[in-house]
Amino acid sequence: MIDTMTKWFLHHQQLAGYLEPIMQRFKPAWRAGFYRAEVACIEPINEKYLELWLAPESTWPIHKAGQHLELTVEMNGQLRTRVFTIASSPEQYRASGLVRLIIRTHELGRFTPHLTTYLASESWCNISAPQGTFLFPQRKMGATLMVAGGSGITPFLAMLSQHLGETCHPVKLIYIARAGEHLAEKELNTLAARYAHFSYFPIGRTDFEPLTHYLNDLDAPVVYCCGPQALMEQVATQSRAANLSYFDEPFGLATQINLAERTEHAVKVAHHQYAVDNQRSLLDQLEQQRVSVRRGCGMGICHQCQCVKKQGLVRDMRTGELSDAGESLIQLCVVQAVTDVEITL
Amino acid sequence: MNEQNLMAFAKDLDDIKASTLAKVGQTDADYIRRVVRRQRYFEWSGRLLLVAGFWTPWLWAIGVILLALAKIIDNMEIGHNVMHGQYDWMNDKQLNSKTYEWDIACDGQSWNRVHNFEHHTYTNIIGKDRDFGYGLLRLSNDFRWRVKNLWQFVTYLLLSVLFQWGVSYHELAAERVFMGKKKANRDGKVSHEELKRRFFSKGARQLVKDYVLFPLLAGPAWLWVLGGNLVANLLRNLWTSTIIFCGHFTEAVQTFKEADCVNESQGQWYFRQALGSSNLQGKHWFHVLTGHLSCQIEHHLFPDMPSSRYQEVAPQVQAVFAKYDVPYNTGPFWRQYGSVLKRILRYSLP
Ligand code: FES
Repeated sequence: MIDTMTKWFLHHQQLAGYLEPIMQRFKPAWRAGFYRAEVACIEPINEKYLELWLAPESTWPIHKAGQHLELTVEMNGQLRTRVFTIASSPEQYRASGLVRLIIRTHELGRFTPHLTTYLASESWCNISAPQGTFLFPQRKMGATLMVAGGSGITPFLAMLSQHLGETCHPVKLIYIARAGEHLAEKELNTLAARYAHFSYFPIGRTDFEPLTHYLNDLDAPVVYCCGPQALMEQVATQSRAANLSYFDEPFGLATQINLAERTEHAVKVAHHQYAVDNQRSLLDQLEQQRVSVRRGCGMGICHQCQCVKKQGLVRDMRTGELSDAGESLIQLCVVQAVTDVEITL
Repeated sequence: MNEQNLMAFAKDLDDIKASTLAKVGQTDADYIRRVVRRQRYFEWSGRLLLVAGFWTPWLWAIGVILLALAKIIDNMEIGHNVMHGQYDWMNDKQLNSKTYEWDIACDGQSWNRVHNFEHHTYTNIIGKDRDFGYGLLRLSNDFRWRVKNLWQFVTYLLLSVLFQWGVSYHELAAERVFMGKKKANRDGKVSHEELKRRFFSKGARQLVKDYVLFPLLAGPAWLWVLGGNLVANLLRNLWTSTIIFCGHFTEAVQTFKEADCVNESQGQWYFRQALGSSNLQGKHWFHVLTGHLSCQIEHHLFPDMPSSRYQEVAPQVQAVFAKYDVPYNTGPFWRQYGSVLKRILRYSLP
């Protein structure tokens, strides 16, 4: 009723949206459709990682270990969103009211290197409800093998601290990272000392052996993997070969971009795929393939061709600027694809 | 201008655009949110004061002015500019060109099609930019004189009074939805059914809101509220119509032929925008209330630059124009408006 009235007479989808700028005077980062969270502490762990402790507002639905959330921060007037796994357990949240994110800072990124600038402690940001299905099997019978690569350790930190106490089956964690870059070592060692059924193997990047090597003392374990794409593919194939059930959590895409060279990419629109290259605008190429796109001026001024990019990177042909990997608005007539992209028209 | 000069001209303007857009950030986001906030304050204090007309007409009068201001700010500085996509970079769902809807009878998406695309791409090209004279007024010799042009000044006054309905009906008129012969070459982007549905539903909601819902809520003060809404809408209509006319229909503004925009270079496009627009001078609050259409030239050169930057780029643009001897049509409000009235009168005669 209120929503309909708001739509009809106040021209906003929600009353909260209409009131937003006023509410923000009193409650920073108050935003329709988002949860608020206050920064309790933000600290670098080493040159590459930082740790962010957030206190979500009380209406935030509590997460399950292994889930992630979208973190939205207003950076120089622009709302930017990235997905991070929650690296602390629901138990910890109940006790302290805090959730922990461990964030890898990408030097050239548009988000992570700026976090310390825009998020001082006691400042506010927005988070989504927890999402994701990469969960530790509750009440499961049998052993577990976890393979983490780099920052892919985060969901396991939450799972281990939540569930080790609830199971007596063996849990083994192989954690691959560059020498000296293993995160949360102390935490993991403490867990290993406390629970006899948990074993922990930090190894270097080149030391990862075929999966069977780690199976000797485990009886048909369920395999969990989170890390770089290549690692997950490798572990997936080997698990399948060994007839083990396998779960993974796709992590951020690491992409090499070479603009000088002509490359081909797939554009996903609804349930169709179209092949495009990185040389001409998306609008031209989609039109050529008879996708019903809306064209206006064709020169980037009228915004008729605007649509939502769900994922993938595009480049603005006017400024050469690369987009974010996540969801954002793009004008089809002035962007080229530089990776595979998914859009909704 | 020769092709070489045009290229240099385009380059200079591109530079202004690039250096300005590079600065856009927090201040611009704060600015537009502040404007939205004021709009809300004006609107609700205005609506409350209308009820006070029950006790004293003075409060009512202040209420009318506040409500008119709220509507003007919503339509001009917020609606017009947000729907141009000027604030899309903020990624804010509430200030996004695809979803923004304004407090006026015209359906936002309909306006978006006609205005953002046609008018801004084909500015003042006779036959393509239907905003030139709105199909009602004869404002240049490009149109054959008809008897009805004799009283076009009265038509103009009526259009101003009912401006929101004119804007609302604009796309339907052009698509010949209700009357007239359908034009064969028009590839309607939206079906006539959809146009009609949106026209009636948006219009009806606006009528219900101002002339049924709020008066009902006011109980015994209903007449004051109804009258106040009527006057506020009227003030808004007169203001928007006047400002918009000043932007394109002053005497010096030029028109173009369809052939002019075939294979147009960026320089020619800029040049055409420059000759087709005129500015108004005034204080900061005046610019805000015009939705920065007082910087019509800048707006036409850079339609999706945040309005918060137009005042800043105006002197730079003027300097570039001077360098290439391009006329920069600006003046105080009364002079420009007088010139508009003269143009309307001048072309009412053959
Ligand atoms: S078609 Fe006009 S902005 Fe893309």
